[in-house]
Amino acid sequence: MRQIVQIAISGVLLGGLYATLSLGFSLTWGLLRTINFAHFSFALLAGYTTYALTTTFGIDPLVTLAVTVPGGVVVSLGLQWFVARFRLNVFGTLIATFGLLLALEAAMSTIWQQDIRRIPGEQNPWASAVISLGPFTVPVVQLLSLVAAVVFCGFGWWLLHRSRAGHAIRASVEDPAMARAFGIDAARLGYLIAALSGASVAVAGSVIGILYSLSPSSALTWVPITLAVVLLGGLANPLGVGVAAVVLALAESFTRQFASPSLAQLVALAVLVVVLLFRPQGVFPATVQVGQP
Amino acid sequence: MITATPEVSSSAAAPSRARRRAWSGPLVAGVAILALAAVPRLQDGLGFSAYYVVFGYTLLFWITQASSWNLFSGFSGYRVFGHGLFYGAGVYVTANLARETEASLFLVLPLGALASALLALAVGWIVFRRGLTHEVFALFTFALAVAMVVVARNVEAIGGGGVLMVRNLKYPEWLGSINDMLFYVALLLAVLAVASAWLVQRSRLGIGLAAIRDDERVAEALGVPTFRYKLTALVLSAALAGASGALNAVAISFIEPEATFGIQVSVFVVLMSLIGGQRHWAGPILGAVLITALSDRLTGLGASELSQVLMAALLIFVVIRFQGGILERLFAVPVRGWSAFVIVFAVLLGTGWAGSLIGALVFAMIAMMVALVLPDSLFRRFSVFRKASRHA
Repeated sequence: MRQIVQIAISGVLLGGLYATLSLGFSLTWGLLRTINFAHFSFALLAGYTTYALTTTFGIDPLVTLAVTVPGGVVVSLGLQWFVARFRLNVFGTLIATFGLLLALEAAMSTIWQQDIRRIPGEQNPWASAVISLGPFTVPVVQLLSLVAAVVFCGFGWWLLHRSRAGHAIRASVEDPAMARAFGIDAARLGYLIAALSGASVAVAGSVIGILYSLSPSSALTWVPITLAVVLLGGLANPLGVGVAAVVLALAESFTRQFASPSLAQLVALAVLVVVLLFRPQGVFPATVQVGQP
Repeated sequence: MITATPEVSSSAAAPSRARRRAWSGPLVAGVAILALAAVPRLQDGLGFSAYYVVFGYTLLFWITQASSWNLFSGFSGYRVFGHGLFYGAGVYVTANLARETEASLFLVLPLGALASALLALAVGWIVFRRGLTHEVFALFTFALAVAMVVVARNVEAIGGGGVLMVRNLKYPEWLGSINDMLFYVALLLAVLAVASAWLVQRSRLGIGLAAIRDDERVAEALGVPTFRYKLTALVLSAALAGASGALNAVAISFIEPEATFGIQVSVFVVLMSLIGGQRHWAGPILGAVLITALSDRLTGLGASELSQVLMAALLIFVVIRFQGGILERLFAVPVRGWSAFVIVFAVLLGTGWAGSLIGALVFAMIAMMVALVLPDSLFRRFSVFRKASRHA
């Protein structure tokens, strides 16, 4: 019983990381019609930035968020500017951001080489810091990523459903011509979504940099998980992303414990197949309904 | 949107030209195949170095892969973003058959094709049963290829965890050395893939796929059996990729999950087809020639990171400035494109500035692309070009 609760705790915490990582992908896909493959590179880049700042300047890993989050916002805004400037369609964004991913991967493997990097233990007190709750342990950084997930998903939900800006965004996605006629500046609102996406992915990337080891080609290993979370949670549905991420992470944690670690990596894919077979529209409703172009 | 092949539109206007054209295609193809088939035999007589046979194999391999990708993805508009999945299935069939015993060439090729076809059947059944959007389809196939790396790493039955070595295959004596054999079989597969794409494009299936690409709901309403057509084309595309993968396992002989199911094949076939043109069977060939020759030269320079950045730049360039690919522009302004190609190719070959045949090919194709993307107004004052561009 104790073991099961402990696994559940780490599952929920891992879900926080998955949600933070997937939120931006879901938002830009659903609201900006940008499938951002480079999202995964942005996360990895944030992780490497945390690694580099910590190892060269001896900065506390968590303080590096002060650099990675603004960085993520700037990069994400730049990409959104590019997509808007060249009026790329959905498949165009997929190809172009994949190109960006390849370029970033080449850049990262030039700077940090192909081998696996990890922040050394003495410079990284957070990797092993835990809070004890009776018989259970809660890793601090993972708890922080869960808090970040709650904040970002909650803010995303508030933004889309309770703020005027959110109503305008949804209107401009569902009916661009009509929204324009009502004086909604879709481009400016798009930058708001892009900024939220960039901030959340930078947090996720820095947490990954603190907790795990990094290699330039590891960006793509998160694709199945993110895709499963996004499709399960409904496009651009922040609460759906949060719940789907926790469910998936719990499934992974239990599989890792009771079956085998390698099987856990396939949980996301299995969930994805089941979702596509039985509920391709997602378990949670998409925030906006877009007609097929 | 115009989806008919150019042959159809011009043949109505000029019957005699159409009759001539009906023969010129197979004739050119036959001469090209015979010329290619002669390369290994004549390499000493013509003063070709043995490297051209190896390069020829690589080129034919990529023509097969890109054509097979385009046969489904380009024609139907459902872009597979994990073609490496089907290629890799073929590779693993050879790797496992040749692991214990000396397998025969005539066994691994059909089995590789079969394995990929079955995989494609399963994938297609999952995704086409419920109408999924194109984006989800692209991402799902990509995620499958990524997850396949995990499977190949961990499943014991297919050599999990480690590297598989492919021993030499058994093949008929008259095919010559291993490199010659690879070249001939790759030529056969490339002809098969291109011919399939050509046949599909002119058949009911191809017209149905073009209708699906333009508007699937309208196609469905007009009675196109969309599910069956998509599944058929996907399975055919995968079978060709699988057979070619099964052969490529012999060429690389050192099989490893990341390299097999990794992004290289998946990205290259997309890039080649996009750059060449996806609406026509010949597009992927042009793209494959350009990209293979280019990456061959870049590898020669020993700059893999630079090569990756260049491929990335090409992907982005194609998306923002070169929609439709080389072929579509070439149909619009044929004289301009071909003259740029021929002039640069002849000058570079004559002077030897490009260093080699492959280098000259790269620069000539780049010159052709530059000529094609330059604005038409630059060429207006030359009468030769004015006549050609009126048809655009």
